[in-house]
Amino acid sequence: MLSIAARRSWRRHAAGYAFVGPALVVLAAFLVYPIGYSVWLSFHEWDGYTPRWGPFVGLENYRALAGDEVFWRATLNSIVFVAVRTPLEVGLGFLLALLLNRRLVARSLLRTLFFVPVVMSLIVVTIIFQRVFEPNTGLLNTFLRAVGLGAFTHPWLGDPATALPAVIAVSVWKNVGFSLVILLAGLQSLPQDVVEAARVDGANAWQLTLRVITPLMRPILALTALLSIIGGLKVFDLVFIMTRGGPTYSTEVLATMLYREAFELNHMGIASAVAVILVALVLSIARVQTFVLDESRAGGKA
Amino acid sequence: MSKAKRRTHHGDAHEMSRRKLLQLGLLSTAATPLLRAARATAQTGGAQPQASKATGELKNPAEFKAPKVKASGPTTISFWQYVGFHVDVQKFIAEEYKKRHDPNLSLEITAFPGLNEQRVGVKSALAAQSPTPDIIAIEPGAYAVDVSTSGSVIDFTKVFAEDPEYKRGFWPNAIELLTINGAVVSVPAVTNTVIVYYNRGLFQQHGLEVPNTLDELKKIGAALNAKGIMPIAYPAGQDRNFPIFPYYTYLGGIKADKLMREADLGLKPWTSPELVAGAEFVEMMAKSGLYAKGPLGIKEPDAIQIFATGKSAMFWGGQWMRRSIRAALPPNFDLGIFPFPAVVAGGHKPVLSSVGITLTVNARSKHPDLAFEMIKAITGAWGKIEYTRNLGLSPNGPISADAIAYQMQSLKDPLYPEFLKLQPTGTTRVIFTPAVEEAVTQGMQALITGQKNPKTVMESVEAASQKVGARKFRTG
Amino acid sequence: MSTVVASAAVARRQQRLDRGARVGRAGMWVVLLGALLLSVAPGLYMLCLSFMDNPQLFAGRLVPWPPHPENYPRAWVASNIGRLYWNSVYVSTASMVATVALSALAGYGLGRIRFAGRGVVYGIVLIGLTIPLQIALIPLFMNLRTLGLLNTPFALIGPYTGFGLAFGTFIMKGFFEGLPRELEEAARLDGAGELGIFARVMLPLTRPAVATVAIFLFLQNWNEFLFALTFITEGRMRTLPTGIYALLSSEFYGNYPILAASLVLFSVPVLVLYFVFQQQFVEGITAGALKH
Repeated sequence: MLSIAARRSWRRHAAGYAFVGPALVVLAAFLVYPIGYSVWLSFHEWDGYTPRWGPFVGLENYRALAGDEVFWRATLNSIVFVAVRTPLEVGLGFLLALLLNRRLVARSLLRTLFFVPVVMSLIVVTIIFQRVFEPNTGLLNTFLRAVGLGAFTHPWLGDPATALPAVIAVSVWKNVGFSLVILLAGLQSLPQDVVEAARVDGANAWQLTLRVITPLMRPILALTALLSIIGGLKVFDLVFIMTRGGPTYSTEVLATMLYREAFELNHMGIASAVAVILVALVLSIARVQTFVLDESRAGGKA
Repeated sequence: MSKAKRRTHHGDAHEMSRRKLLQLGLLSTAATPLLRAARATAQTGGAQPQASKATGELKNPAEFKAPKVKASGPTTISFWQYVGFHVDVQKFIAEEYKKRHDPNLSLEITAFPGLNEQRVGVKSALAAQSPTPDIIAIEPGAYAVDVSTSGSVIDFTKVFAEDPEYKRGFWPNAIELLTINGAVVSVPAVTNTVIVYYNRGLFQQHGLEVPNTLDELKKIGAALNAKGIMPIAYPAGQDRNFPIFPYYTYLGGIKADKLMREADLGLKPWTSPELVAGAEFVEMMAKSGLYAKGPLGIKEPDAIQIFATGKSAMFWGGQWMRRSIRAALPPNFDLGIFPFPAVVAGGHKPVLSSVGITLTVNARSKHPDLAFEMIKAITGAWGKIEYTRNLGLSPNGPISADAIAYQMQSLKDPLYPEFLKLQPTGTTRVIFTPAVEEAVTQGMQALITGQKNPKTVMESVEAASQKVGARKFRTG
Repeated sequence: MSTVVASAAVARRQQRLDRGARVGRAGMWVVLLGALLLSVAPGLYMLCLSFMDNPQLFAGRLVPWPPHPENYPRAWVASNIGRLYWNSVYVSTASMVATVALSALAGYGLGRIRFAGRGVVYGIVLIGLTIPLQIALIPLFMNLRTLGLLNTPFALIGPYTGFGLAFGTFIMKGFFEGLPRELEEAARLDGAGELGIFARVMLPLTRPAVATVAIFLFLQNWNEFLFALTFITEGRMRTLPTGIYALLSSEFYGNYPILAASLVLFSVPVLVLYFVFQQQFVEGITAGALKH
């Protein structure tokens, strides 16, 4: 006969699983299964056409990737993409949030307008920016020429040196609104008494922002950064549609390499290996970030 | 699906698909009697078309042959393709087929937005051993090799054996291009050429003539640049095939396309002198000032606008672009075409000719016989005339002067006969081995950006070729 | 004597501060307006484009005159948007509802019940947040085909729910974790079991979190195209993104104004949805995000 405590704890575990059960089933079917499939596939060769997989090759695919300069390029590009985009996106979002926080008039309207890029479909965004970046009649170069900065015109998407920055710029443009909304909400929920106290103490705007607000916002800043990093490492559509990873792999990221290996070169095994590595990369970076988040939350509650 | 009945062009926009009708074909200059006859036909047809004869409007002169097999009950077969603007004419032919011959057979067409999307869908379906789609549109080259060597499609051996006249309706070189391991894998619906469009008004205005040699082209380029007009709008950023245009052009011009094929199959090295010379040509062209700036950052729609607004005098593109260019041009624009000038002294002008979408049958289809009959309806004698009349593309084989006259009644494009004339003089532009094609694309991009030199590029292509090892297929 | 001097000094300092504040405020407006312009310009451009016709566009105009509002009905018909809208709404809404329901339950379980193995479950949720869609493409396709579910709404609703659950559960867990214990204890004193607590006490408080998850997911599902493209091949079942793509490669390829009109038609519903629900959205993000 179970003791009352044991029975209660059994009921607790059962209840827990009852709640997460349905979600777990769906997750298992649509997430766990494909991941497992991919991991297992990454140890085989397969061209994607034949009904059965090719032979088991162990770690061969991973070894091939380790020796593939395109893979290292893609990894580097992915990391650069995130390393540049996240600070810009979160930083600009924070700046705009701070500015918007003080303007009560039309804040709702402004907030919606800033959110427009987030909501616009990627197809739309890429079409528009293709026209912006086109070297000869594109809006950017035309604008530069019109204001006398004609010397700065450039084939933005056609030059390996500027292609990745251009794509990053579009990504930042598209996502700043999202960070802005989250951070603005965070600002609005800050304990006003702390802020007031500091202001009464004579702190000016600068000090207020740096010493008081930012530390209070650290957890939410970290969360925004985390979401941005995860999204950035996974980015595919934007890059693929704008440049397809080119020219000469200058904008190739892990997700586009995955697509190319799977659907253009018929290397399903290698593509799966890239997918596994990508997931591992995202998970490890997310893990690190979560630590930082926990730390800052513990510290920020001071 | 789009419901509007306007027949316009197609073209690729800024979405996932890069390859529209970039089907590469091998039309060697092996002048068979068939080709000579066809050329004569085309030339006659190229003269200004007569309006309707005195007796009334012209009709399609070919016979819409009845199928050998009919459906036993109401049946729908599915067709997955990747060129949206072909859907209307395909539907039209299927409806006619249904009316005239087999009221039980319906065709359901799914047009994917682009080749890549379609290929992903097709691969998934084939991997899952699905009987759908019954008819698959594929490209020559790697795609055809993939579906054929994996046993995913039924080849045309039996169909041709039973109906030799049907086979004769195709350009022999087109069929050769689609022959893998001795069997014809698919048949083309249309053929295509890549040429140079030019602004006749602009040329006249500046006293320029159509160039016959590379040197003449360079002079024209210099003259145009001096007047602040860009010579050639070249959308090298459109997809992974466009950067290779200059390379194929040169090889065609020095008659080295067969050599390229052998290198593609791993039988000869990519570092052969002629193949390296092609790379040198690509590098030279990129540095020559002939292109609108930043070709790798330009896609087709951008290039069209540059050409349409008179900022460039020429446009390097394919026949499939004619409609999109026309749609973008102001009404008084005088459009002309010419084949790329001879790249070596005394050489011929390389016309990059190719096949359009090609149709094949899923090996696991539940109605293969009906699928083949539908394909024959679309690509056979009657169907091909309707198909190309509707779209203004070149047919998949020779057609009679009557047929051309019939087509010209509704085709408002005087350039159509010009294209027909160019068709037989084409040169190959297909690479069959995917890894090699990828290496060549990247290599050409590197030459255009100036990151690598020709020799290094061809060495890396050769390295990629060797990595593939022995090819599991042969062509032709 | 000294007080007069002192107050003059104070007054001058105040004047300097005021001027500084005015400059600061002006500068702030400049930055804000600049950022706003950058954000909205492309969308505005598209809107202008949708009222032009091709000749106007190629002549280099930025503002349409005369305007061509007939582009909109034409775009509607050409892309068969009516049908596409319906399919998209149906699929997006159904999967959003399913995801919200399941993630509310799961979020509650993970956030408030200390059961064995919840770390593992949470780990699965986190992994779900991080994996790219492409790797699930072929395994899911093969599964759906075996189950005969291709070209049905479920072919999309299932995967969308699956992938959306990760985000939904993530947010809901955070939210539930942050609710005060007292509520729970009071309910337990009243004799409620877990389900009762969940349904009667916690759930009613979750509106902001639910709104957040709902709109984020709706947005994601509305724009998703890889799965939509591969799992649905019959024209009449297609969702908006694939329809728009198809339009881009159809005869309207060169007709930018009509393309722009269909793209506007495509984006507007989500914008309206966002505008209506933004207050909830903001509250939800605050609540869900901060309580992590």
